[in-house]
Amino acid sequence: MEDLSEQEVCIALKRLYDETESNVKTEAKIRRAYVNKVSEEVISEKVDNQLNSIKAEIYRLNPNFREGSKNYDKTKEIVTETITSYEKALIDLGSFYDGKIEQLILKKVELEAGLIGSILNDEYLYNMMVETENTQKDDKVRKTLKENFNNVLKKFLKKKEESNIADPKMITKLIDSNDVAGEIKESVIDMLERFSNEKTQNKEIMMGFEKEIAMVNAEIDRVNERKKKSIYDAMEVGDKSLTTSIKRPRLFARITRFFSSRFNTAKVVENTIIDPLRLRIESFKNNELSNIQG
Amino acid sequence: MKLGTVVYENKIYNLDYMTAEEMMQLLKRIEEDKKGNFTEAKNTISK
Repeated sequence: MEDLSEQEVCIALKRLYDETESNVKTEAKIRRAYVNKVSEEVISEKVDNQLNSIKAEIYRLNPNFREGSKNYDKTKEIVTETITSYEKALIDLGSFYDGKIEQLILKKVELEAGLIGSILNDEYLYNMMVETENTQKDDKVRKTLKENFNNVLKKFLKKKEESNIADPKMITKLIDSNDVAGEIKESVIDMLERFSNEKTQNKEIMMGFEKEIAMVNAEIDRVNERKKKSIYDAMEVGDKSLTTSIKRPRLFARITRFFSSRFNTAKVVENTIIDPLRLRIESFKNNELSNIQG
Repeated sequence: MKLGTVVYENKIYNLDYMTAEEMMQLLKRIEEDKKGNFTEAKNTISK
């Protein structure tokens, strides 16, 4: 009955081990994808906002400047190029943080593998203790020794009865066999104690793993949040909106269709909208991004 | 970017088509499952 329940324990543990191993791998893959997806979504939102700002400002500058207008294609090309550069800077920023999170994910997988190993080690130690205790109970060697001891004792007592003299050789034999039995008993007790200590240490190791895993989980969330904030704050003009940095020609508000034909919208867009953004991107790459990347 | 697919509880999840929110929900379920497995394993041993 005892053997069957141990077998059931082993089967149950094997199932749990396989399931947990699969879950650890799946979780690591999804977490990596999640971190990338967060970067992607945040960057996409920021790029869309920037593009919409540019479009809104171009419209405010000249509502008639659209597809088919003079130099519109050139402006479109410049805007696309600048937005691509803007996006790339944000992707580089996101990649820096994603690299840190990747290290944390790998550390977590290592810790969880350690925890699974500790649990199985605990089972191994438990089995060794049970096995050793059983050995102590029905040890053939011990039984044989005990039988021998008893036989020698009987002979000794019989001889003593007959002749009333204690045979020294018999006494020595008695002492020897008793000593050997004693030694075996001692070594079994030592082993039990050792396994019991190792089991206690193992429980502490398991608790240590669980604590570390919780800390790594918290750190992954923290770095992910820091990344989102960093991307949102990157290359922002702060409280000033894009419009206040635009320098407009005097009396622009009264511009009419007559004047607009003499007004190079594409040039004004480039000077007042695109160039400041380019400067912000360059400044970001040379200062903040290179400081972060080290 | 190809994020790939995963299989969990006999369902296939295409990570490229999932939102971050959906991935987080899936991660929470897997985390709960793992915790349950670890607890069950520890209880099995201590019996």
